[in-house]
Amino acid sequence: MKIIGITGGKGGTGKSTMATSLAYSLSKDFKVLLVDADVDCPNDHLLLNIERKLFKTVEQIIPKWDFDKCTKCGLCGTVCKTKAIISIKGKNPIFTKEQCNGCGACALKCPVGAISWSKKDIGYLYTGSKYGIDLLSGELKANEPVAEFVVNALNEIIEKKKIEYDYVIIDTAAGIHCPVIVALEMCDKIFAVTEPTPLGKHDLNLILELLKKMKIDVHILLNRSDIGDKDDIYSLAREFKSKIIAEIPYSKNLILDYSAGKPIKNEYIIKIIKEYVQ
Amino acid sequence: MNKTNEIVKICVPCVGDNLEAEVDSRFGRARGFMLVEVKDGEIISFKLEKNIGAEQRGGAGVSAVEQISELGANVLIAREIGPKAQNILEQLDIEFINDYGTVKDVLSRYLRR
Repeated sequence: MKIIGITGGKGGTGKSTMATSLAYSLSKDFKVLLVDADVDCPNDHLLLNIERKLFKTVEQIIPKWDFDKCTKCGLCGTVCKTKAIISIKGKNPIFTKEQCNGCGACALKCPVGAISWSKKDIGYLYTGSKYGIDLLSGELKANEPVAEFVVNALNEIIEKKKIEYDYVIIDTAAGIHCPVIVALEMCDKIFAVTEPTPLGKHDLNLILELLKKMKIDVHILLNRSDIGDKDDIYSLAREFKSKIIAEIPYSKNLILDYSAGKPIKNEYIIKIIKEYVQ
Repeated sequence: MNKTNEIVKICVPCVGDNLEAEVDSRFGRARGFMLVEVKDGEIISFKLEKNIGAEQRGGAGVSAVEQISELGANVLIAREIGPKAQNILEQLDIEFINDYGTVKDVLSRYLRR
């Protein structure tokens, strides 16, 4: 059983396209779990036209005050870094739950033990199936501050269910921040998707730095390979001792299929699978 | 007309440093807060306070309410406030009045109520 992460740093390079396409091709011969860990904007269910069903609501702890015990000292407000607690002298603290990241500092600081715990919903996990692919899709509730908690919840499911699959493919968000890192922590192998442009090069550099720190091997997929200068990407790959395992030329047909919610069947992707995945 | 003998402290988010300044179109990220004391229908003092939470990452409206409450504001006159700020103002019994123009304009309309 292998866990493959599809990332890249730059948004819009084709991570979800690659992830869904890989899942689609592999599912012919193997049991595949596709995980959409781009919890800010999950799209894999749209690319594969899969109807999602709610599987689990993700919760986060938030503080709860016993105002009978509260002495209105204001200390809880002083340690809240996200401005979720307003303590005005002589008044009970005012809590704005949307701002709370569940750090727990307030409860630790309270000198009279007036703070205990409640929960808020911060996201949802969905499941669905099509083409022999099982999809696990995570989605953050809009305006919630801690996306990586939802990615963590996905990882817990992956840990439990991975034994049932030959391949787990994890589609991460763009960027190099916590929700991406938490998704990549599960992976045995990473494919970084980029494009031959200055933006692609800049962001690929960042993701390669991250993966070097995480000590995970990464191969590079050069998407839309014929739209710009490939040399920049090749020299960057050499610098990080990483290999560009495929160049996928721009294809209008691919984009038309993507827009129509049809799975991408691309010869270059099938080749990647045969050589590097299996 | 404000006939009470009590001093009422009014906060107006603004973009300048005197009463001719425009009311800031924002509250949470306003440049500054004009704190004006009124008594018996007249302005008796005013002072500009810098908005300390203007540059913070999130919850600027929440910080702004905290700051003006600590400065003793009883009334907030602003063009627009967000839902988080609105909720906290209500809990702190600070009256919110929706108005804009110059600080002087909104204050005279307030005093004529």
